[in-house]
Amino acid sequence: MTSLTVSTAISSGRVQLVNVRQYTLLVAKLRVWFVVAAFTFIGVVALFRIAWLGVSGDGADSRGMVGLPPRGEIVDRNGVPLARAFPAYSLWYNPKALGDGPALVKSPAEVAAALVAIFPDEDYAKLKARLASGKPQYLRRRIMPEDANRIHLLGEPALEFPRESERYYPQGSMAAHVLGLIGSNGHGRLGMEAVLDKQLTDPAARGAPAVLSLDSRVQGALEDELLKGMHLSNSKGAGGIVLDVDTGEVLALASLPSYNPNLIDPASVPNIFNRVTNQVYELGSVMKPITVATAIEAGVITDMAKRYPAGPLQIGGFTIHDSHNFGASLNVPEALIHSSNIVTAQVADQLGGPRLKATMEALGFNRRPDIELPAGFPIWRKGEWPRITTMTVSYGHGLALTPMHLASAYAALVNGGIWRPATLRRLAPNEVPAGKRIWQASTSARMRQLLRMIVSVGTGRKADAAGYRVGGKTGSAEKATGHGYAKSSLITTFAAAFPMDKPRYVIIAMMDEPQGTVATSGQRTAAWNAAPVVGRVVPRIGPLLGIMPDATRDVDISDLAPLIGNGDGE
Amino acid sequence: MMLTRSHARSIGWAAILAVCFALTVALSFRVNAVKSQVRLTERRIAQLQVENGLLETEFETRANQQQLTALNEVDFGYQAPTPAQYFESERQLADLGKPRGPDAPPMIRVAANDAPPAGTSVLPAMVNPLTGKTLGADQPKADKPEPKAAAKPAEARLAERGSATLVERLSRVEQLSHMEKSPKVIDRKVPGLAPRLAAKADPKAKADPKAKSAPKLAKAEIKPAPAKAKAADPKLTSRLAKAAAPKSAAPKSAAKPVIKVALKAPAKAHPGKSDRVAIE
Repeated sequence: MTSLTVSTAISSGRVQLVNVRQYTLLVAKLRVWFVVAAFTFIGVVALFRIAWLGVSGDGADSRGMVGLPPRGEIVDRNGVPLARAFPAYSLWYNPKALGDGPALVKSPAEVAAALVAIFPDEDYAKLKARLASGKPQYLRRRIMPEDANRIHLLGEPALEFPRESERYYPQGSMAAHVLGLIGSNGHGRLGMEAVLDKQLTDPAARGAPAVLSLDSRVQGALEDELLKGMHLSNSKGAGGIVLDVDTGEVLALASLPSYNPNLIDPASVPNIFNRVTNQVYELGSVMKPITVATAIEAGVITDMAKRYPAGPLQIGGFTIHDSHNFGASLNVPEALIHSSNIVTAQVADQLGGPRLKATMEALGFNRRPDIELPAGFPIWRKGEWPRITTMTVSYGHGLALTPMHLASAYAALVNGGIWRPATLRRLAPNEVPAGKRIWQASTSARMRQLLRMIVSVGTGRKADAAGYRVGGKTGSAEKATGHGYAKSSLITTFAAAFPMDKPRYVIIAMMDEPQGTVATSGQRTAAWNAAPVVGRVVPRIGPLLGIMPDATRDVDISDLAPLIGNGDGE
Repeated sequence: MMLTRSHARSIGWAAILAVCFALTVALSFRVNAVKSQVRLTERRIAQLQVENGLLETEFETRANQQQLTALNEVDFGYQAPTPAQYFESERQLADLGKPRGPDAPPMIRVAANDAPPAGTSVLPAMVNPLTGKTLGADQPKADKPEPKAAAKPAEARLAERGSATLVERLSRVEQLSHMEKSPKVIDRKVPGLAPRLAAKADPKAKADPKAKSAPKLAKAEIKPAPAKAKAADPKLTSRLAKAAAPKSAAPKSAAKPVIKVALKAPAKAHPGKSDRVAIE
């Protein structure tokens, strides 16, 4: 200010200068103010932001989504996870990781060689070409953490391993046919993955696991023993079911050979086919108890001691044979124990086609089995059955069913006569269907005696697990081809229930084209390959299911025991 | 400037309002701080749940039914229990409590805690808190008592392998005393015998690089032998002795110390199969 006053007094040239200075000062002041205002504004905004954060909290709250799997878990009836979302590593090639220069530090050939050293199944030439192409892509899906570490040690920033949620089956190939498959779009393609797809992907429902009726321990035991039996008898395949007779819940369902749903390769694709529900078979003699029960129910069999002629039966140019000659005559218990086609056919003949057909329709033999999985349609003769059809169906020929049909029918046979649809969902006690009555309780009680006798003295002796009161029926049928039957390929089945004094579970074991081996004493029939499987499975699963072996209990067969002679049969 | 009454009142109200506002702001800040903590904790919980899930999955994969079956087939061979292994009632259980008959077979003990030989103490030795030395450790070795039965280093089991039957090994209760860590206390008399015995007792011991101390340790095994023989059931001992030496000279005295028989006989009869012999 002093310079200003002095200078104005001295000269006008200085005044000019002073004006310049004044202007400059003004500009500087304005700038300062501007900067101060800007800073103040920023400060105020920041303070408001802090206050806003303090008062409102950060708005984006994803609490509900945290921990929610992208696809729901599937667990067995005891909560053991069978399928779950798993953040697996995958190997992603990102050529831009190093900027615009070359994608890899080393040459693609070296990197490809190093990767092949880690994953021996990779193809070196293809991998090299993919690395050289410079396109971002997956090099491999689902790699192990230790492999990820080894890749990390290669020191290539372009090789990334992001964690991606994938469907993982901790039990491997166990229960693969029940669980099914996931397509590449993340939706179920087969099995329960497909059936439960909506529930598993629904954000409201997928937090809770989907519970199946399976028991993984039972499933494991069944698969293990079936596989052993399959190898011992050199069979092409095997199938098995464990079914709760009082609820219709399937505790285990196995089709062998199986596949690993974690790794689907071309070799395992044919094994995805489910023999237990998709394929229909003429199951053979296992149908005889159903015929006999229907005949008892209808009052056709009133006297168990009544004897039927057991010679070859001529019906309109067709002869019904037995596997052996069992003498001149047999009564019904003996016919079941020795598995006589001739006597069963006569019983069915007396019973008549309509009544047998009505019972079988009530058992659901004329439609797909009641199970959630995709299932095969039975070969079922519509219309009125001719006499010969009634007779052949009575011992399991001319009618092709899935093993699932058979399991449900056997459950009704032994549980007091109530048929219930089979299910793979765990049922709460109040969800158990009432079912429908097929046979009277007295008929069922009689059948329990007869089935128990087949195992204790008849063809099913190899299934007689000590203390478990197993009862069941063997069945060996030749596979139907286009023209007649193939003598060399059999389907052998053992349908059983235990414990017979209070049946709890039905077990079906089935072998596809078993061969006579040393382990089966050169025999191919169910008594030698399917029955032993049941005999080994029952002691393994019985205690797990709360059935303790007890040699002091059994079903009372004292009224039938005197009626049986001794002998062998199929 | 004069403050009128109303002015003062309004200033007072304003001040109270300001204080209240400040308190409110402070409180809401505090509330949100806690909220944020809760949110962080929830995030952490979710993260841990994911981690838990991963570990669970890994565990289930490694312990899946097929793995367990394979493990059982190779290592354990467990089989389904038979009806005889179940009790029907409490009476059946009580029936097992009957006194043994005169010609009942000897019982198999699966747990035993034999009294230590006289003169040894199961109490830990006293340690001088200043020097850190065990009381009496500085005394000359000649003055020391015999090595104690409990003074078996953990590795001594290697040398012991051939020395006891399955029953004895199953029933042994390891004395985990401080003595285990101080192999110094072991007597070193007869230096040549120990390695030989050790080699006989366990042919694998030499090959095993971990079993460096085997010769020394085998020594520890020799001394307590009579004591052990005393403690063992004489009937059992004689049976074991017979079983252990089927081909070598039949044991003349049933009271022969178990340890010697077990050390020598199996090595002669079936080298390397001492365990089996003992069990048979």
